[in-house]
Amino acid sequence: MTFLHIAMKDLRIRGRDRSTLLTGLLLPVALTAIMGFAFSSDSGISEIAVTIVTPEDGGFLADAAAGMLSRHELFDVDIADEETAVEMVRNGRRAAAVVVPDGLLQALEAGTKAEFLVYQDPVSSVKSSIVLTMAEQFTVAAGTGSALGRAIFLSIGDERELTDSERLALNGWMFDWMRDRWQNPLIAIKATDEAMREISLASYFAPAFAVFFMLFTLLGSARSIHEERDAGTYRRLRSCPLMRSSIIGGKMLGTYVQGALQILVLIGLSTLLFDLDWGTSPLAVIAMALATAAGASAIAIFIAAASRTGPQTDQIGTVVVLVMSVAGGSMWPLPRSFEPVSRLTFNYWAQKGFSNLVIHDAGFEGIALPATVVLSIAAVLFVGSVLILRRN
Amino acid sequence: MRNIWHIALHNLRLIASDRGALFWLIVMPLVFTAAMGFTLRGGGGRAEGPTRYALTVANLDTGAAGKELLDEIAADDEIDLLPLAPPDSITVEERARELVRSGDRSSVLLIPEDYSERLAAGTGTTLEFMRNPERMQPFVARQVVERLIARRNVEAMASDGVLEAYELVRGAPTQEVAERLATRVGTRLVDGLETRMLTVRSERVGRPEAEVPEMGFTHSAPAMALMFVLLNGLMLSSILVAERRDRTLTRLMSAPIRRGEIITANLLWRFLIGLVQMGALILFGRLVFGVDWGDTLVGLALVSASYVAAVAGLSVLIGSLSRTSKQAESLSLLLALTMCALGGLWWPLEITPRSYQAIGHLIPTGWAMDAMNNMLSRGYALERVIPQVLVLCGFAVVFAVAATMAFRYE
Repeated sequence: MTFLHIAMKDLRIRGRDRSTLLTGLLLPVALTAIMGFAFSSDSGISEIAVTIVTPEDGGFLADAAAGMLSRHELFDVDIADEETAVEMVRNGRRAAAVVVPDGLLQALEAGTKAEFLVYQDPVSSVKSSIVLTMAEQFTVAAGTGSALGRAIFLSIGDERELTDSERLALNGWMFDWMRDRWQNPLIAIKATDEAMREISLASYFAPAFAVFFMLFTLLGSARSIHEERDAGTYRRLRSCPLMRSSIIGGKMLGTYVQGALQILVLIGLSTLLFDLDWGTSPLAVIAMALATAAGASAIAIFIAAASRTGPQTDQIGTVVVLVMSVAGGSMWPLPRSFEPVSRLTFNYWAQKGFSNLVIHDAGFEGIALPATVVLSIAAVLFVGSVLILRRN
Repeated sequence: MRNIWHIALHNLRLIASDRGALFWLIVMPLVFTAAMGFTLRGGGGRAEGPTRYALTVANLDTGAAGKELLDEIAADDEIDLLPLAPPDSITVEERARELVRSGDRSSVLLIPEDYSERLAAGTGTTLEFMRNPERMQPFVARQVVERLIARRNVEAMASDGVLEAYELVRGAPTQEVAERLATRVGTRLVDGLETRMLTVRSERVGRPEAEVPEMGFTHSAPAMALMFVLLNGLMLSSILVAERRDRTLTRLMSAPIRRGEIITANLLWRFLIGLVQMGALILFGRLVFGVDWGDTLVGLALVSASYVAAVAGLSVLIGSLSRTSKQAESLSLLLALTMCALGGLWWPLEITPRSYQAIGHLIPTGWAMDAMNNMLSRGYALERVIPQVLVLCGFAVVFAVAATMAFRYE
């Protein structure tokens, strides 16, 4: 049981190190909080400043275009002339400006073309794209409605030319009829979100940052192999009646327990601070956490074992951790086309397991494959580390 | 002045002899720029052709209308149609739900089995669109489907509407007139819809589109350059702690070197390293990712220099306040990462709440990113980035003064 003593000694040293606590616990919690704040429900997407330029002869359609945006909760709308509007977009004070064309109604009545113009601020590309999409939706709807109205008017007029009173009656009826029919279309779409639970960005980033920073702090723990050698304490340990496997086992156990404690504390903190729901199966969460800690500690120990010095462990380890974190999606969500590359990383599988619990509430079934992959990585790297450490 | 140069050059030589430093100064920022740029490229900017989105469709309808809709979806430029084969043991609905929940498919459109029948009868029908809320793709796929069914809805509206309209002004039509009206309205509608009368043209305000780099790199190239200059600059704070620990500073005390000279030298060599790194990243950004850094080289130089000066000041401040190298490194990491997140280097500030944007402008990263955006995307001239440069210089002065006050030999 001597390896337990060595593991406990390492844990005590780590526990006293405030910088480990700062990097291992405070930093992931702080970044998850910042993410939560950045993408909170009252996020900036709800405050799209847009200016509308309406011509005097725009008629009800120009009013409808302005009304559609100003009634929508996403937009903060004002009216200005074109020159002022463009200047405000140029200064970054407006995400976009929508110019309703002159003679819009006359053009539609005559069946000729009219063009809306959207000025976009390139820095507010997301917000201005939303304005552009809204403008396109409006023109499609208005254009379709106009084509429909014209088709009906002309078809009746083909039978016998419409009188002014008939035209007036139809104009009054048409708008209400169309609105009513648009609300009750022949073919409707019902969208269903096929996730078991409501998700937030914290659901994604809490596990992602937990895995990322665990890898970092465990590297610091694993490099103690070199620190012990440099400080001469390893030689002192060897002079004691200890088997080499006990020393290696103790080092590995200490690193693993540190990782397991860190991720479990982070799960607890994210539950308490961010009200993050990790699913209805706490045992599955603990199992995934323990498997992830095994994988992360194996990676850290393998890097330390394969390195010649402590600083080399830091350098190689940081590169490996950063590359795996970027490619595995721990830093930001990656497009699906990148998934074949992501699958080659430890981070991807660890996060997959947690997201199956947090987002899909998939329990043990959801973590079966990710945990198996993570534990396989752990087993291979632990064996590799033991072989290298025994040889050295 | 000579003493300052001696100390600064000595430290520069030490850093230059570290092979790992080159990796962190240049290679890692480029890797991150590529990764982030690749990720953000889907968000807009110029594209070679229309982006295609996968949509799985399960057609349970055996009639003609279902097949017709399926063909229209397959023919759409924006959609890659993935048919769903009938499963053996479970229903198609269950299989579709399973595929979306597992993440294998982003969205599935279900055409109900009575689709053709209901359309023929003129009664309403509903298509079910299952989507994975983790993905953005379903939003676009749904828009395409809505566009396609909108046409069918309008056609249905036209045949009903013309009869109702006729009845309103001329009384109920005879069978013969009703048939004529239905045929004519259909033809006129097809003509009307084919000539899209209302269109939208968009125009970017700022630099001409051809000069602006692709969406992903417009953000990632300056953001990652600012991030790694900050990260490396702050990490250099541990060197000051090491000098104190190794009594190098105490030895300097006995030399004819003033306290101010030591501090200035520490600021200077950090500033020079940051400047070289920033310059190299700007150059590589141009050569590797084709980033055009704007129309004002002087503006770019001023923004870079003032930002690097602020980072150098903060680095010396952290080094002065920390007791151990580890403490300095941890504090640097904490500050660097939170400042990157708050300053809009990881995602554009435009998508965050106003209060978040206000906090982002209490730190140098927010102002530096503003200046970069103004030059790269808006094409601002030198005089319009001077306010950001002045604010960054202000940060540099505050940090340098604080560092001077906190500086200690032991």
